[in-house]
Amino acid sequence: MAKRLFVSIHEGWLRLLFASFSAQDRAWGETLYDYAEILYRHLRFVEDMFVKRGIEYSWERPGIRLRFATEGEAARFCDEALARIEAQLSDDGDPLAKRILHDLGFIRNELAGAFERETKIGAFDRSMTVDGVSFSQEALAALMLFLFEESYKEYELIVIYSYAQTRVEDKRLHEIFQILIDESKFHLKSFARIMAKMGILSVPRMVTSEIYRFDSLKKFLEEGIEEEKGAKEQCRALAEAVGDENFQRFFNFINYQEDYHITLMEEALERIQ
Amino acid sequence: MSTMDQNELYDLTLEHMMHPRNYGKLEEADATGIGKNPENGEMVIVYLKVDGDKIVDIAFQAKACMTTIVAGSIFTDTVKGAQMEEAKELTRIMLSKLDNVPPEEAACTELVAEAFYAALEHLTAKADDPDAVVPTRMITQRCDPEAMGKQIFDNTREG
Repeated sequence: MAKRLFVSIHEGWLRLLFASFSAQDRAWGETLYDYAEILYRHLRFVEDMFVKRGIEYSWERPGIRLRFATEGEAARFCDEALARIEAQLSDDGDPLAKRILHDLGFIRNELAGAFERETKIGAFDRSMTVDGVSFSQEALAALMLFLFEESYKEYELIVIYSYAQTRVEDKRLHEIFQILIDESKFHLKSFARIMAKMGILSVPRMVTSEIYRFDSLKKFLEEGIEEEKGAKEQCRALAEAVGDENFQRFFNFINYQEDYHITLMEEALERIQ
Repeated sequence: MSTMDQNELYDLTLEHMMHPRNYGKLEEADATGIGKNPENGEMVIVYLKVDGDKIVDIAFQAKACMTTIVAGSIFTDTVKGAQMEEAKELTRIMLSKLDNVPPEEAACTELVAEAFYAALEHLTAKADDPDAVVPTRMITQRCDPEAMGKQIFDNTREG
């Protein structure tokens, strides 16, 4: 039961999150993003409670295929997942269950108000252009590969840092993981928005327990630093490959953020050594 | 290769990148196998469920690049529901063609094939010992991640 609830909230979070990236009406997209953030917090509240009570749960989940053509259908797609969470909770006095049920009630009501939205979603049309900018074949190939690799990587980092954060007691380590989670959320949003504009938006594959569970925090951080260096290099190479100046500026902007991630992870490594 | 074939290949690759098939684990798999790249630690795990000689279900998970995910997705999609001998033959043909593809791409395909072979070994071993250890097979092709990015979409759509 506990495991299923965690998976359902995880799925609800991702459905809202990717529906938010896909929305043509950006104000509505940002509203959905805020709701997705609330679902993410539910996930973390529940995770924290499970860890404290020694209840088994998993960040693994089934694949999610985005099946909607209009903003109204996207709202229904999200609502289905929230209804599944609701069905697993009862208002029996538990403050967390009560909080989640109230949040779901409000969000589902807002989603119901959007069921008739007819605005077409272009996030899966494979237009391969971004804001009117098209790319050379070589640049397009590099960009697509980068976006698929990195959107998965950022999602993977959110999962890994979340799992790790729930288990560390050191205050500064906790803060560092929170910064890295927030940064990965921003990167995921940035990459997914480009994918939506290109018409290739999809939910990353799941992160398996073999990847997010670590036996040694030290080893995890050492490997993480190397991965950040790799991401930095990929960003630099992509900025070079993509001819458009705005894109180059954007990828350089991301690249410099990776620098600071490395600094934070090195600090985390020092603290545990 | 004709223009049509190239476009179809491009669409197929993109489809598997967006929606990898059979990714994850199989609860109560009959056999499991691991393919590993000793150079960079990338790995693929294949899970099999069989009924007699038929592969009734197959899944894979990977700690690897997107090329490997696409290879695993296409491979598992193809052999799911196949007879064991057909799947073995397909794997043999797939591996025999690796000489003609860039080494980076070959390494990813081999990773999936070796994981599948390891799962078959596990299946055989489990017939004698239900607690047989999950085997790991190493690949022989070299993987250069920088060059790999250039290869996966070499079959870029023609207009």
